[in-house]
Amino acid sequence: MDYRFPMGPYPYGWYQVLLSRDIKRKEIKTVEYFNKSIVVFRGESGTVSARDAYCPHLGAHVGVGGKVVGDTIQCPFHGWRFDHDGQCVDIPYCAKIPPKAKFEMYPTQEINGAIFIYYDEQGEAPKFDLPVMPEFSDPNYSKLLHWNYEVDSHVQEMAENALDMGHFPLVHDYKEVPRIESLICEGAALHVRFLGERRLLGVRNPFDVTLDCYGLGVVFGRNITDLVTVRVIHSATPINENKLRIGVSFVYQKSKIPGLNLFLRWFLPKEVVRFVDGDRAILNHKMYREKPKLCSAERPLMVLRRWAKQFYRETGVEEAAAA
Amino acid sequence: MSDRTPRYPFTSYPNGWYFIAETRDMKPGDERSGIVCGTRILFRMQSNGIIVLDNAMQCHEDNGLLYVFWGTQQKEVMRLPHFVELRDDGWMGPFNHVFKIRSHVQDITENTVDRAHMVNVHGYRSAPACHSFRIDGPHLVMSTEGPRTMFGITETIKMDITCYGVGLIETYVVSDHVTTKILITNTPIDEDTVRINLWFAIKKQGRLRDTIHRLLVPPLVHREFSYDLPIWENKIYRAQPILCAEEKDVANYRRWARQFFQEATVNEVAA
Ligand code: FES
Ligand SMILES: [Fe+2]
Ligand SMILES: [Fe+2]
Repeated sequence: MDYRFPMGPYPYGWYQVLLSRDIKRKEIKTVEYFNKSIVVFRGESGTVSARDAYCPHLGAHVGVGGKVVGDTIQCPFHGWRFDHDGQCVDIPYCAKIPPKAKFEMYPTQEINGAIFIYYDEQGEAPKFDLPVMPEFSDPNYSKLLHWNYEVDSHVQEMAENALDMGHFPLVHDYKEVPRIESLICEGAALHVRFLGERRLLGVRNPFDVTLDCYGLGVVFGRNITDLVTVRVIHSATPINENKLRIGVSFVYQKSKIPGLNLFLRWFLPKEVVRFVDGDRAILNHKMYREKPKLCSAERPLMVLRRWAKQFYRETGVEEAAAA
Repeated sequence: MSDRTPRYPFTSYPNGWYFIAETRDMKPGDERSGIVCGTRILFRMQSNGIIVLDNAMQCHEDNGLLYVFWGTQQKEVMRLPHFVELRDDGWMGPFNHVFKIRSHVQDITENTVDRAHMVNVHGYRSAPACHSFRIDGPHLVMSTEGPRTMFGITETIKMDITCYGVGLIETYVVSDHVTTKILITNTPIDEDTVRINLWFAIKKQGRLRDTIHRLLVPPLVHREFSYDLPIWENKIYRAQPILCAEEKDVANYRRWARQFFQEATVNEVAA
């Protein structure tokens, strides 16, 4: 498949690669993102780190037969051990460790029930962090529910989709176009709040949604309705230039009304699946228009595009030169 | 989607001799074919019992194993293993295991000089010592000795190894209890795939021990080899590996192996 976007495929930023519960202590997992094999391991202390899959020594894949020893990962080939910073700390047959024996690492943050890595093609240090959302560890909230699926798209398209109020009635069968209450760009974050109304089992159900985008890979959302408050992580992680894995994880505030929790446990997943399915079909086939014809209600889209430029190295340079 | 960078920074088809097929059950007039370096090669047995190819490549038969030479004009003559034990009354065999894997012949042969991996992959107590390491044109000759534990018994394993280019590895393995001759033939099938044949014969030592060896040795050889396979299939090739002081052999091996990637190499059977 040909690459179909004018911007680079991997804007730098944080990307979700696993849920915390996917990887236990002393476990090693290989994930395929950014057209690379990435090995994640959790040490005995509980700390997680992510690295390029291939050993700096003679290139073995540490995710195939590697072992966790304490807080190090041991390569299956010659038994060298490496710590969470990627540094070699032991060679079984050699006292002197070559200082360059170090893995290529991806900065890792484990928060809100998920594991995020910072991806930058140039390997630079993170330019921003992700915030902790207390609801994800709040006992008044449910346990984490999660879906994920693959889509042929670009991370920026996913962010644009979230801000594109116009598509809600048609794609997600909302009664009307939601109203944007505020839209604030703040460095690597973009905060948007919108209000609207849906019908739920024939009853009017107003909603108040906040989306906090951190880079183009992660959106922390909150949806407050009369029925329930939901906290969402919407993640988009490139598998390769053309494919994304979309993750939707959420927790909801447990209700005091007997029976309602049971209803929510049954109802919310259905809603989420229905919601993401609507976008999925469209994103798979959509074309990115550099100069879309927008009506004034769609101005937020242009705000987002301007904000998004900072995550691309090429455009970042251009902007700086123009300033 | 853009292609991933190629897995190896050099051709999958280095110059040298490669095993193509077994000939022991062929009769005069029989025709067969095998694949070497992405090329199907036809051969037949003439009425005088001699094998000929239907193309201009050079071939050689030794004890029922047929080899062809891949590549161009030679600088130094590359010999071929002479596997008399396969047909010798003093030896049991031939035994054979076949693997078809995603790898490169240079990586597989590199394993023979890579003594450090014997500990982690093959259960040696410590990396075997190297008694000699000699480069002789297109041949690499080395002998090693190291302790390994199996079924709770530690014994000393001695190996005498000769690599004929990167396609053929001949090894005498002598442990306290059993002597085996193994020939590993690595043949590139296509750009990504190598067919590995393990041919081996076990030295006879009397009825009872032979019976035990016949039962035990083939599965053990298979098992040892199968430990290497997932590593080879999943590794990348580091052109600039970070080596420690103890690993000069690997660097020397790679320097030696370079000759098989040049235009002019080897292509004759020594008389
Ligand atoms: S390749 Fe990892 S220790 Fe040698
Ligand atoms: Fe949508
Ligand atoms: Fe091995």
